Amino acid sequence: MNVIHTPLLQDYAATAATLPGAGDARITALRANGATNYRSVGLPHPKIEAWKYTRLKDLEALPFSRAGGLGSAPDTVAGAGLAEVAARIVLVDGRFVPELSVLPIAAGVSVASLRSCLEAGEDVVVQTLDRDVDFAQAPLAALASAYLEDGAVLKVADGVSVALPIEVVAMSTANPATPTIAFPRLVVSLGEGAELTLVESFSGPALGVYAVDAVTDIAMGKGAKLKHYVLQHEGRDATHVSTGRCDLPEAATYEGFILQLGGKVARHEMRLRMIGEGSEARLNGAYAAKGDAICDTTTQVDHIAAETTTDQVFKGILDGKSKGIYQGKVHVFRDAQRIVGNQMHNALLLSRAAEVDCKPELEIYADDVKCSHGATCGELSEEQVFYLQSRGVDVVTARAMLLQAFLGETFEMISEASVSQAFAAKANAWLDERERA
Amino acid sequence: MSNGLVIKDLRVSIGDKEILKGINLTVETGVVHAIMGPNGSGKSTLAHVISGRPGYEVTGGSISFDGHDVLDLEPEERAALGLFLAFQYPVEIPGVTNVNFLKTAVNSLRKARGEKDLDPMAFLKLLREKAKTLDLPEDMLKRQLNVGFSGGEKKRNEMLQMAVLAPKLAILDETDSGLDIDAIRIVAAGVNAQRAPDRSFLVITHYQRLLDYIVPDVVHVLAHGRIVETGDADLARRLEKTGYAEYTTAA
Repeated sequence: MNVIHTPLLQDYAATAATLPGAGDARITALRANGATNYRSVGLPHPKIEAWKYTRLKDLEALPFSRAGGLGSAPDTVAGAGLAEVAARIVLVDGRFVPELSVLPIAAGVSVASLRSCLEAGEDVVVQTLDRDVDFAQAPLAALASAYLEDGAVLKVADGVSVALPIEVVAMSTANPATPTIAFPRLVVSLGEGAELTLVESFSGPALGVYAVDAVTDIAMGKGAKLKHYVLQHEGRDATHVSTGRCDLPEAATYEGFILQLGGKVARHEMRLRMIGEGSEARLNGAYAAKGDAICDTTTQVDHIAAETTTDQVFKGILDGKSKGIYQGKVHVFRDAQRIVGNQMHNALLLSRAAEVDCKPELEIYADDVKCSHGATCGELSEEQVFYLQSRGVDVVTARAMLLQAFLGETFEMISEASVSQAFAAKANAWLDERERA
Repeated sequence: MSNGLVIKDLRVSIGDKEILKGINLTVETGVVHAIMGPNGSGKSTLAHVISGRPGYEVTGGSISFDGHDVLDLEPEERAALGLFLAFQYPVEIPGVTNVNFLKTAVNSLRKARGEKDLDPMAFLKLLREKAKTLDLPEDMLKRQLNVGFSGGEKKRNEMLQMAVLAPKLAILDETDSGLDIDAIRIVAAGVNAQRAPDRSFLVITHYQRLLDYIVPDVVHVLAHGRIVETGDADLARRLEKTGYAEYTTAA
């Protein structure tokens, strides 16, 4: 028997009344809907298909409370390491911090705190937040909606092309007295034909228990082009859950990358809905885990419109007793003819105690489709190691070269050169640290 | 000390099966030796054991190179002594470019010898020069190591590595296998260009054909894990006519 476990909603009614926009019926309805859905499902458990392999053990066991005000804001911004950005939006424990942010000055690009948009009851923001979510499979997204409070809203007007990346840095703090959870929320609205490179990075203190329940909602106009790169490099005691959603209308293109390197239990979920004909999405990623970390990447692609294309490649390295999870669901609706949907997952296990769970799910209701999925899982090739050694490369360097090369192939899929380099550098730093340990 | 490769009574097994049953072989500095023999005679095993490939159990005997006991060394330490193996099946390494691989290899060898890293420009110059002599297009240097290379390109790439790493002893493990006559000529020319008084070769081949182009000083016949005959280049020519029948019948 399953007992529904719903921590984190103590005193919810009293708290909800104090949240921004509490007088706006549309916003209170969003929160109430989130709370109701979270209550009916509770914390994720293995009987929820989308959560078969990942348990949020700390959230189950420890008395988390909502991260309070700005206790001690970090004095350095730990982003993805990009030299040049058009804007850097900093959230600390989910709250927009203008003092740490670098805001855009370009015409047609605007950044605001979600709090101010909720207080003003901004239509675009409310509409973007109010979209169909399968909360039964995403109870943490429901919880985040219940506590809808702050975050950032980024808007790019019709036809505006932002040359440099815009970075959103979501940092968390850890409270030594009590574990806390933050709800960073990002709302992105891209106008028709607009072009944007968005880099999200999630980080927190290297040591110290904390949790992050992030949601990113992206709305795109027709023909818009979005590059959406995510770096998750949380501290090693962190619980990280983030849920991204993006709808692609006619002729929109999306290029995504998810790099996960941190956390004790980390799950990044991205849901793409191909709602307009001719829309195209590529969603790739890489991850690395060690110790007893759990690293989960889950994607869901809904091909709703005809002639839409999606492509996914993910690679992971698992060391120690870590566990890697890749779940890729592709749902092809009845009228979505002539679609292409590919996915591939390759994992490298560096220890016999490491584990990888890979679950492709294809649900196809149209009859003229091309879908493929593949998965490999193996150890570092001793033949390759020997080949390098035979040329004079020492065994440690040889193994490091091969690991870098394994993940490196994915970074080549990032079309934005500065991000490709920055992400490769983050992954290489992870590998170096592992080597030294 | 430079007395070359000295193998004494080498016995090697894979699992329970003894492959090499007491090999005695000396390859003096500056000399080209060829080892011929039927399939399954242990030729490739010998090449692998000299270079330190895992998976073999040495049950007896010794291998020394210029006075160093080779069997105690890691493959990279053997490379640092000047040993080089041209693989029969060069390994593909996706994600590592040919040029970065060679740079890492060259500098690893220099480091092991207590030398500083080669200046990147000097390295590129050396690489381009050697590639040209092997008729290797420059774009192959930027490609991922051996990935998508044809059989001939892979073998020429092995010769390029040999030319750049400048070993004291190069072991060519059936470098001619899978090559057409034009590719064999290019590979042989690459080897002949490297022949020098301070460099020796151990050319392992099933066929005499390669030895028309790389004329050896000494030819050995390996059969059933033992060297059964040793002669000069004429021995290879004789084998071309008679085949290995006389060695394969008597176990």
